[in-house]
Amino acid sequence: MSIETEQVSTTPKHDLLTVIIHAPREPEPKTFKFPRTELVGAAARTAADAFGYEGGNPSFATEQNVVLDRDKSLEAEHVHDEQKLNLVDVGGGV
Amino acid sequence: MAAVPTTVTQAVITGELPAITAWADRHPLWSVTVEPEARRLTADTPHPVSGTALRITADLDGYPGLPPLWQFVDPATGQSVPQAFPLGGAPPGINGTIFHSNRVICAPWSRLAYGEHGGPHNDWGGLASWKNAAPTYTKADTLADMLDQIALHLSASPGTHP
Repeated sequence: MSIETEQVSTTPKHDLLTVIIHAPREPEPKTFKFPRTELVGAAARTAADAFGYEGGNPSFATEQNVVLDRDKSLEAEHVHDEQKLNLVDVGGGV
Repeated sequence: MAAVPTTVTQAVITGELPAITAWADRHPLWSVTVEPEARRLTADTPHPVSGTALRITADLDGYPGLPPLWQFVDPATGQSVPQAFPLGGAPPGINGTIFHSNRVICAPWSRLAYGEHGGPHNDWGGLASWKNAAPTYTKADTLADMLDQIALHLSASPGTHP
């Protein structure tokens, strides 16, 4: 597994969540550390940038395809430490 | 970006194979076959609600200068028929479904969505600018990204057309 860590040096360690992110365009996941209070949308943007996505409307989805609310924090969306999430685009169609 | 030479298309498809294979491995209900020489992708999966066998094909001629031509087809005949197309239903947190009522995948990365191919959109600046079209809509620049979008939207589809 490829490990890339988003270090948030000013945040106490216990306030950080480690999440393992899969993006469709990359065979291997990347690992990030985000503050628990980070908004899903902001964290997803950081992850999307790391995977080389330009633009779009990134968010995370669980392995059960439940899309997280971009306007809520990771903590509020019940993301837990070491959770695997999928990077998804929520731009929609039609 | 315009249509690209066949050899370039084949090389790009081949370059995307590891990501497509990894994506399919993470989605065990999906079977994906990619044929770079034929510039074609075929994906099979059951509909998540009805269990109906779905087959999605992508004609990749001109890719990535042009977006793929995605179609839902009858798995037995390979023909595009109305009954093979899923009903729309956007997952919570997503602005709208990609499964248009006129039975095309309505997304900037879908060739048939554009007016020049009979689709509903004459407002996306044409096929050649597909990667930058409609920035508030679904964004998918690689084949694995597109498969992921199809799977995500399919997860909220209530069934297929009668």
